[in-house]
Amino acid sequence: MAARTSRSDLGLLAAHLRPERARLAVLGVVLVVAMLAPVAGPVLLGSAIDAALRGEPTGDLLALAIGFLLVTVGGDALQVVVVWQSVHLAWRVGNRLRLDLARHALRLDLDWHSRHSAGLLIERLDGDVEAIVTFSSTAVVQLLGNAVLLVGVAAVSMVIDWRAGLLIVLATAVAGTVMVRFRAAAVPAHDAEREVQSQLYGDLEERLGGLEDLRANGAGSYAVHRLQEHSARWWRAARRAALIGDGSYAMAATAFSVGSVLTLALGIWLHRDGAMTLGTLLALFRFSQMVRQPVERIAEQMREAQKAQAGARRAARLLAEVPSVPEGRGVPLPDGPLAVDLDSVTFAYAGDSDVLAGLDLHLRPGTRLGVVGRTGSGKSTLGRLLARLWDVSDGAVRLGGVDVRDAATTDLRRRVAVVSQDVELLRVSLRDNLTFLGTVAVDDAALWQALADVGLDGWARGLPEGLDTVLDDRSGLSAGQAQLLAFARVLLADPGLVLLDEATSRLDPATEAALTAAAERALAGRTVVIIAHRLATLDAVDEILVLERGGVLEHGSRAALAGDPSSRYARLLATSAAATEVLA
Amino acid sequence: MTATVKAVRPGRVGWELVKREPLAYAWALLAWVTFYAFPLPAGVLLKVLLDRVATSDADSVTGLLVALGVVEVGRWVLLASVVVQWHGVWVFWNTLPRVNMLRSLVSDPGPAAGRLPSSSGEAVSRFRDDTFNLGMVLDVWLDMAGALVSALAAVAVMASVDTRITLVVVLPVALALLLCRQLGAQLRAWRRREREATAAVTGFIGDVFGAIGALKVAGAEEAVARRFDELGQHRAVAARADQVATQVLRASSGAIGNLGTGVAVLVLVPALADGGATVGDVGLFASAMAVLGSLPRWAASLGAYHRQAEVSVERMAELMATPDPLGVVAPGDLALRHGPGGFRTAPPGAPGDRHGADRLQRLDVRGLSVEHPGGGGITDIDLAIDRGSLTVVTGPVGAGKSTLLRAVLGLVPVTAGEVRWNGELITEPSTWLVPPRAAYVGQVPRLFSEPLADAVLLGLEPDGLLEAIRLACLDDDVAWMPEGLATVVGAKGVRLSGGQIQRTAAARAFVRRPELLVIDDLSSALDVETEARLWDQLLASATAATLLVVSHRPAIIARADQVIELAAGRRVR
Repeated sequence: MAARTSRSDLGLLAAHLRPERARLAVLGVVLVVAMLAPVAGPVLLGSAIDAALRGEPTGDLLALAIGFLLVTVGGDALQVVVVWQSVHLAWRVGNRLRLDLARHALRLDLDWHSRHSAGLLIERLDGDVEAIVTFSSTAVVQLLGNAVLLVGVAAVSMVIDWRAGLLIVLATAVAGTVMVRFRAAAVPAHDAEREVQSQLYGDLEERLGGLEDLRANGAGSYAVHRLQEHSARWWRAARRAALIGDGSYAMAATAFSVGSVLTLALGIWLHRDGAMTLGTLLALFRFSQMVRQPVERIAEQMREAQKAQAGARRAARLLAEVPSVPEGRGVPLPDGPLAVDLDSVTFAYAGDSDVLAGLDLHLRPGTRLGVVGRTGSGKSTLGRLLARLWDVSDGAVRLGGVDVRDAATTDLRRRVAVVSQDVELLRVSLRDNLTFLGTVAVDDAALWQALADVGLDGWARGLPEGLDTVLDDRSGLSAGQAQLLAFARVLLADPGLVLLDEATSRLDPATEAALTAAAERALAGRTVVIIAHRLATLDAVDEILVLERGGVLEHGSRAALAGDPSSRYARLLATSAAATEVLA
Repeated sequence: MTATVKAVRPGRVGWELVKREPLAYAWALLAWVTFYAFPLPAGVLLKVLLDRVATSDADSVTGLLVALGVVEVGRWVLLASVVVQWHGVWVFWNTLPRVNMLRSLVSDPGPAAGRLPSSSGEAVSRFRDDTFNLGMVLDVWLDMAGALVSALAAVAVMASVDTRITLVVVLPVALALLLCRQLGAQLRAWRRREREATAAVTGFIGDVFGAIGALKVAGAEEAVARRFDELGQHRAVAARADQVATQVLRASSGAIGNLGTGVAVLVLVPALADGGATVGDVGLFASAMAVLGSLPRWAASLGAYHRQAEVSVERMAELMATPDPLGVVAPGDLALRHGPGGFRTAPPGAPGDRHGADRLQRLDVRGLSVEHPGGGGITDIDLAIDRGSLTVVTGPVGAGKSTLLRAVLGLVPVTAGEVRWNGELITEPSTWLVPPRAAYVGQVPRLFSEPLADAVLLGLEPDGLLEAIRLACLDDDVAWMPEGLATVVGAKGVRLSGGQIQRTAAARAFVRRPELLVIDDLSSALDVETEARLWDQLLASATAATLLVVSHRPAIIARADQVIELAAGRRVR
């Protein structure tokens, strides 16, 4: 999908409403009818009163009164129909919008995600969309309906007496202007309030996720203090937004009340001159009061609109974010083990200095490479570039001869597997965790085989619902067992390049040896790059790469480097061997 | 979760919350009742006015018009002032439970992990949606009081004009009241389903974006989107019924007002013909019906909000150490108006300077056992740690090494055994074994989104910061960072490498200079040379008196004063 240019907030909503055009039209028609019915009400009432005062027969009076009753109540009934339809519409549109935002957010790269916590995304995908949906389910249609009502009332009033009609229109106009003026000022205030709340929840979500860290470091009161800070900011922002937003509503309603009393005064004056009957006077007064509610409703919708606009603005901002790793042309990667070529690769994280500088590396397909180097030498970065989680600043990364920037992302993900030390589990079934919600299409037999290969089948058979058991904190997976599960995931994917980024670092040497044996079956015939601190992990690799400060210090066959006492690798081996003690 | 929550009616909890700021509530109550009742004096004035006009009585018409204007305008002036005040009080109603829950989670005894729902996204909904629901009860009381008082006044006013007609007119209102209550009951069931479906969606979002790294690498974005869509559809079904019913209830006041007015007109108009009623009466009844119409809706909503709040109060109480809902609204200083000011804490001191109970001479563990539902627990572990020693725990995967450390610190519930500090039994390790007595570096540490210095200090005095950074071998990394110690560390620390996160967490523990430093496998993200340097520095410094660590590194095991080997949850050596 091409990157979107930043849209106006209303434009975003309009785009999602476009497919619902036909339904909106029908809804609009029903609403217009529902809203015009009450306009007939005061007219009928006025006629009934005047007829009674003139002494007309009871039958006629009752007919008029019943007419009044039916028309007003009937209008209300039609409004229920409108509500029902618009709520359904709003959820269709809302879910579509949520999905759109979620898809987009999923595609953004890890750099963006590191700056935006999961809590913040809950606010964006759910909280903000909620505001937009609330608005669309009541406002878009109601605004139209109430506008119709206002026009109807103004027109009929004009017909009854042009001066009274004019007064009503004037009052409405003043009230409307006040509202519009203050709307502009209120949106940023509501925006600011939501922003403060969003930060509050984001911070809170992090603290709750790291509760143990807080307690164990005696930092509990610090977290509470932060919550109090955020809350005080919310207090100020909420009151400010209320002052601007609701203050304007009150002013508009005042304009309105004054207009209503003036209409009454005008009517009384006209009645004195004999130009107006009492019934008509009451009808006009009721009209002048009837316009208040649509204005009130419009104001309510304005408030919802303010919130929705703030939400839509942030949603549009999210959609305007461009993943910095763009989709490739779709050049297919070859089957089988992949050759790895890094041509003069330079890379720096945004705003930082170079992590890798002019790195050259060439691996034949099926080679096992071990990567060593001090912390910060660029080992993990190398891994991320091979998996195309980031794009190089200069140079090229080629797998199987294909530049990773040209390959299709789905192809790349399938052919390159990464196991890191952070195993992320979802609260879904074991099966869904292994296949990533069905991304990898395998049957249960393959799942059991993979679990057996990593030694987890005993544990898995002990689960209450086997593969369907939902994994959560109570499953009792130790960090090492979680690592084994991550390995099982990889075994299922059948990649051409496997990247092990400190994969076994949390395992003790005995378990690591057992896992390596099982992994042997799976790693055979693939290109493997192992990044590790523990040198024993690299005992079975073909080649060794030593990185230092973003450049290649040494690269050669493991045997050759180990045998050469002047090589860095040999010296590292010696250091670790001196500290080795075989455990009984 | 913990023991069942004591059942307290949400009304009682709400009342306690009101008592925290009684003046503010009283003011709001008075204001809202006045606001709701305003149409009544306006209606009476209108009747008098119209009757004077009808009998061509010219006196005081102008005066009455002015009075009517003042009453009408006064209503809105009142609203403006009360709404701003209300928003402030609303923030208070939400913040007090939040602060109480967080306080309890971070400082009350007992392993906190068991009290939290399994995803942090779900946990946040306790702090957001559940506090909202409790606040809504207080809010709806205001509306209810306003509607009730003004409805009674309206009936009184109408009855003073014509009792018979009043009775006829009140009938449809009573009917509407019954219907609304029925709808209200159904609404609660729908609301519950909607809440569950929403929690599933927000929980999923939290999980997915927490695990975004693994998902991206696996190319699972499309599968995630599909599952998200499914959850959304399910939620839409539940939410639609809820929202339509809510809207209908909301619109019912206007409809009931119209119905009542229509019935009144039906009775009054023939009476108008034979002089039994005046035009002013029609105007008055119309005004009064508008007021009466709002009552059924609030009566129905009251029930709904209360049931909703009942669930919310229970959910909030689950997070407290003592599951008493009243604890959620316990009094506390919130400092909303002026903010809480700066955060002050005393410096941690040094192990050499501590005396008495604070100074660790000996830690004894006897018969410690932890049962894990899925296996991986420990059974009957004995161990003794003397001051100034290095104790290393080792063993294969799943042997229970992490569990042992966490059990000693009280981070997991212990099924049997005891831990003694200088011979004294520790009744609550989770609140006792914290800095300055003990500090812990877990296997998967969490860093918070703030500048690195704050992430390490977490409110501590900055004196020991640079030393702690040096000891954790983080000083080179800090030198390479663009803003040094002020660099903001991202959520989940993706901007930092795994090793940097672990070393930051280590610095965080070191800066607290604890008596007992407990480290769960620091070596997993360090290369051989850096790790050797770290241990050299740490053991040479006076940062911690005593160390208890998990490690597989032969180099560390060699330097240990005591090696504990575990296998399948038991001590082997």
